[in-house]
Amino acid sequence: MTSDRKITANRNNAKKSTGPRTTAGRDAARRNARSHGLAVAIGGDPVFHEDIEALAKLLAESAGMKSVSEFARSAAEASIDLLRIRKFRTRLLQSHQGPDTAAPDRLTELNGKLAKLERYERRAYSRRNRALRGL
Amino acid sequence: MKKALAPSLYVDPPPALQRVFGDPPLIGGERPEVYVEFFRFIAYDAAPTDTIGWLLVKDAVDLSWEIQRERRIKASIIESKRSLAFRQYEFSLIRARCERELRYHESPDENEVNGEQEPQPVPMSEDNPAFLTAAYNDGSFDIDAIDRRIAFYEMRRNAVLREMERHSESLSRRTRDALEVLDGEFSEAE
Repeated sequence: MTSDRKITANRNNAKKSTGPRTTAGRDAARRNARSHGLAVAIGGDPVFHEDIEALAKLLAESAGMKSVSEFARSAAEASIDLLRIRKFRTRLLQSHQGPDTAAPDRLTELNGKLAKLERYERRAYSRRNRALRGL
Repeated sequence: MKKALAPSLYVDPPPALQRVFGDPPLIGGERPEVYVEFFRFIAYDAAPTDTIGWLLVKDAVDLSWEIQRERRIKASIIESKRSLAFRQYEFSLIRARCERELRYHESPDENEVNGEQEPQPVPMSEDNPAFLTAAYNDGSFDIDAIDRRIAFYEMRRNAVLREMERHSESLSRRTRDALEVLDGEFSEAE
């Protein structure tokens, strides 16, 4: 059982901590819980903005549209998401390559991670197919 | 892939789309030129005419590539477990022999008096099916996980072909035919 004295000391010490103060520190802390970022909507990520716009334009042109529709953008986002998931999967496989690849614990860990990816992939396919049918 | 390929202009996606696709999703040991040839083989037969067609062909190619990769990983796990089972068996033979010799050196008279002749196990060769069985038993969890992933990719690939069918029936038929040729070639190679 923790003593009252210890609890008080802990509380006082915690008050002295204000967490990360610099912009870089806060930026890093913001990503603490982020493991792969695949749950984040790709549309809001500036890294993919250019590719999404380029693909949306190509899809709109392919469908004979003069401007980029919401369906074209949505299909582009989902397609880029699929490419991102595939690349993430290859990175996972790559990181597990090595002399002890067949070690049971490493394979179990890899299998678990790959199984989680399927959920994101299934959703991206559904989004993309819905959008393509709307084009 | 014995078929002669058409000039790359006809089987590569348009440059703007290639930029979006980026580098092929490969892991160590997979050669980019083999992926490109694989892509061109499918694209040549499928002959997509628009962006949607190219996107769907890219999906079919990537999923087929992943299916083949998973099959390779599965084969390598089975081989590694089989080899491990054989090494463990060899080790058990060596240990048994050492124990016998140790017993003999500790009390040679006793062995001579009793005339004990311990049964000598008949050594099994490395290609004995028992080691393959042991490999499947030992790796069953991982093999199941790989089989599930292959089933998932095959299901997705079928969904892509159905989506192609909505877009263009002929595109879907041509892609399906090309994939069947490649799947057949891979099965033969296995």
